[in-house]
Amino acid sequence: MEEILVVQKLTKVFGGVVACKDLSFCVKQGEIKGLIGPNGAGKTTAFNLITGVIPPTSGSILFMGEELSGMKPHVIVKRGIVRTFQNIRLFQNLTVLENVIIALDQQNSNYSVGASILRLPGMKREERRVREAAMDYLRVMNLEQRADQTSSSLPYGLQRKLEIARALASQPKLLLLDEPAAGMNPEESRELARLIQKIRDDYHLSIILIDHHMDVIMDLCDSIAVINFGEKIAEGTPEEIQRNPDVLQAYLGEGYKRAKS
Amino acid sequence: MWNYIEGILCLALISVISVLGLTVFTGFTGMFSMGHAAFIAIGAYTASILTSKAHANFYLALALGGLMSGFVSLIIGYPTLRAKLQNDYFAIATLGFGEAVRVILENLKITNGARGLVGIPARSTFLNILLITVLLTIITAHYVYSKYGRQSVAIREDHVAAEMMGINLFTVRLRALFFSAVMAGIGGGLYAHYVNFIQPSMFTSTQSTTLIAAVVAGGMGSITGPFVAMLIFSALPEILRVADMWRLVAYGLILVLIMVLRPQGIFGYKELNFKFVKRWIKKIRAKKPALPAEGGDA
Repeated sequence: MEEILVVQKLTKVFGGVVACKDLSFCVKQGEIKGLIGPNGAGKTTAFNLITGVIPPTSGSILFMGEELSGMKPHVIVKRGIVRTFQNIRLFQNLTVLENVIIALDQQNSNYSVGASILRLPGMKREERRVREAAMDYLRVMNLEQRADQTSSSLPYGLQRKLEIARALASQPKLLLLDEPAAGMNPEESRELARLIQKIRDDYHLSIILIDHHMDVIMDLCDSIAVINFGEKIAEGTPEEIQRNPDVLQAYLGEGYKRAKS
Repeated sequence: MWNYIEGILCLALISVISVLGLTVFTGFTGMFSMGHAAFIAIGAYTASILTSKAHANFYLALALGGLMSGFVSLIIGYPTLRAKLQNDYFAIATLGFGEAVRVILENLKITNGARGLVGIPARSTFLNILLITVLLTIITAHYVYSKYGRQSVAIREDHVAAEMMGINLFTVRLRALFFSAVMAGIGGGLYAHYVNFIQPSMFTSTQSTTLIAAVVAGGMGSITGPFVAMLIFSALPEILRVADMWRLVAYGLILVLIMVLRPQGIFGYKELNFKFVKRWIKKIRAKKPALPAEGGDA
């Protein structure tokens, strides 16, 4: 398989704190990669670096052969890397549908300022088309019935799903999910896991997944990287990770091994 | 009597035009400008100089006045928005800009310094002010309720998420600023040709504050809200004339009350349009039969 993302020796220093130290990993085309580690290990920092929210101190990020470090976030999105947020960031006063439409607008609604002021027929056609396409994304996440609700009125779990629908509408090649199952009960997180697998297959995505639900991670991921104090301490398949003594000590805990066996 | 009312209406509608522009920038894009009087001034001076000194066509002068304001907005907007100034930081930058423009106008020869321009031809009539207001309101509504407006709203709601959606914060904010400056400039041109006399001291930060107050009190994310609010704000000092020396106090009190009772503004995130009125009537109708039952309980 071809590598879609190659992160090499990525380092980020905030003042005296090293949030990310010589982090290297790669994501293969079509793979779901898990990124796990204790709180404050630097997982979200890694996402922020990849999406260009913060510039790296040193190191390189190659996406489909192109160097990303130094690019503006909105440019990186156009290259095909889209993320969701650990603390949900929806456009709260807007409806569920509008949230998705905004993401779609950036990708493929095509009319000029003049056309919008004069309400030319072409503009109206585009608006209808974008609306329809946005509804399709809501259907994927089973949100179509909530289309006209304001997004802040959705229950927590559905807000997380809406974030994924919105991210999909940005038409990514690589999707970064930051704790999509946070705050969900086991049943909800299992359903979410199925959805993530489905969108990976339907949209031919590669996914990087941060989460603390080990059952979701172990189920979904083709490979896992474990981070602690900004450094990668292990990488491998879910089976390898579960046996790795460093990982058990730093994150999973000895109890995890016993519970599994 | 009609002359008196017409005069108030003309000035009110002219202010509405400037407020419409600011609505796009503040109510929809979420940026606070405390220097919008400067854009009104630039539009007013440009249009006046064109008509009184170059004898240009009135409407052409209005348009050029608007564009001149827009051009100046790019000069102030480019460095500040590129540096991602937001909230109070941006507001302070515009506050300084507004004062700077006023001082420049006081010292230029072509603007006749602090004495101002006199004898500007009276070209603004009630009819053309009304028509221009209607036209610009429609343009604003069309602009805001399109993909461009949605980009602005996305930035207002959450600029981090907006950027992660591929929205270029800089261009969208600059475009909104440009739009609002052009509107303010056109308003300024109309104003100058209505009162026939302008001087720099007419365009102070007090005026900028009133515009902001109208947008916030009228409601963020609404066009009709600030529209109505500005009409009220313009008419209020006249209506309150009976209270004489207490009218400014009353004016302030009304503002405070709006903010306490309806912090989202009169029409926050809503529009006063046909759909809204229909829903409102439906709500009242649905409520009516319930009333006697409530009385019975008491």
